Amino acid sequence: MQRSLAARVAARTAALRLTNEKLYNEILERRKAERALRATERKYRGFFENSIEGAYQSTAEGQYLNVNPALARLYGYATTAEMMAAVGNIARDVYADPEMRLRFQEMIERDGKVRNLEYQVRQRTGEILWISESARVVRNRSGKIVCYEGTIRDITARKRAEDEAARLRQQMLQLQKMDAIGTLASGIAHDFNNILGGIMGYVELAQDDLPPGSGAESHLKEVWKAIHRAKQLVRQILAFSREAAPERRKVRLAMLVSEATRLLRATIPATVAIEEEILTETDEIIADPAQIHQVLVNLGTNASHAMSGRAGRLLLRLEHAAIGGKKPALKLSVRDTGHGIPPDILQRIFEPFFTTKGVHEGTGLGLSVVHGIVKSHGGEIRVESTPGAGTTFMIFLPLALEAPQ
Amino acid sequence: MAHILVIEDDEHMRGSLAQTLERLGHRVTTAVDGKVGVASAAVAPPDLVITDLIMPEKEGLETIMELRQHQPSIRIIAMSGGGRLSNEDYLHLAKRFGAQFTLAKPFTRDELKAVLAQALAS
Repeated sequence: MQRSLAARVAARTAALRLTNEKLYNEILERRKAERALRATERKYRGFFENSIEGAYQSTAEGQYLNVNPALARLYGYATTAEMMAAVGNIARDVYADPEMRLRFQEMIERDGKVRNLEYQVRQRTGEILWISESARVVRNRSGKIVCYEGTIRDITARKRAEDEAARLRQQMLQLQKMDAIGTLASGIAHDFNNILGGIMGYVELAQDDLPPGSGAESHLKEVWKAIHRAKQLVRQILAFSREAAPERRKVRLAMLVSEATRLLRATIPATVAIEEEILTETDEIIADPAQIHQVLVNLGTNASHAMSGRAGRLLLRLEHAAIGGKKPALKLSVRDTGHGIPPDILQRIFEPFFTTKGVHEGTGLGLSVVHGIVKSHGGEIRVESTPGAGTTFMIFLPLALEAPQ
Repeated sequence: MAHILVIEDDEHMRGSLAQTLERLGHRVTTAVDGKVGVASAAVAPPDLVITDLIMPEKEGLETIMELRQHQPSIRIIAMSGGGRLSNEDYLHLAKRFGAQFTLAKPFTRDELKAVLAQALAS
């Protein structure tokens, strides 16, 4: 009896020990799991807190539940707490256009997410930023929305560059349009002057043949007056096509070079690397800025055509020089690494209507316009070219003297 | 009286200029473009050439250069109705290419006579 009791106690004790061990192991397992969970949480919390991109969680109604320091910084707040306190309603306090919030909500609730949605937000100081947002809707098991969570990137610099490029493209289009109108107008003017020349000659011949006192003589005098009116009209059309009389004022050539470089960057293929070297501090000339701009754009565009379809380098350099070895001047070089110009063609490039381009591709006027403009500014133009290696145009323009006002 | 070669592609301009020159007492040969003009000058060298600048076939600047190559002392008046460049610019170019005198179209008979007198006296 005693033995059987002892045996039962022993059996029970053993079972208890087993249960204890199991329990102990379970506790160990759970602790391990908890530690792992905490580590994971720390990891993700750290990721959220230290992320370079802005990140947030918010209610669907537009209250932040959580924002990270990157987002607070982006929106101009010192701390996340400051931002959470200041922003009561995202649509009202963050969106530059509160209507945009409605569109955002419509998209995110329809698709469950938005990817790279670009819109404007207002910083704490009122400054406008362009941001790109990717976000998703978090729902519980019954499908009810728990929150939105997303990341936000600042794309203001890119947007500004895009706007600038669009503005420059527009400017280029305008220049091309003016050029086309100018070409058309000058074509009309040229033909009209020829026609008027013929009429003028024949009117004078007819006047010779009339007996004195003839009635036709007074009629021909009226024709003569009409011819002079037509002549004035042609002159006006030509003046318009050249944007009226050229302007002459003190301008800084370095600034015109930089402006043209920017325009060229926006319009010529990215395979051409454009470099600008300003090697002088005195850069004032007396000039028509629009015409000098035209010179730079024409030379730059020609250079890019010479490098078409392959990688190349376009260098615009401004330095001090002298015209004829004495008159102080600025030397502007436009150098390309294009196909170069054969010697037999080189001597003809400044001739009007001379072109190596096909019909409809070039007017043959670009370089003659450049030549005309440089000459009318009292300057010189030279060209050096090595077939297969590239071409350099050198323009010398007299420096503006410090004349008394 | 001089032998004058008129190179001009515009029919009315060419016709009226030729008749005017004849009435002023000159002998006139006409050519419809630079190519014909250069050929004509080679056959019967004129005392003076009056040439247009923008023409089909052979344009004026090239014509001027060739005429001067064949006959270095030839007197040339370039005339132009202008274009993308101003008339002055074209005529300035023509001078660089070898025309000593220039006339901007349209011109009166008096303007023509003044330039002719200068050219023939040179």
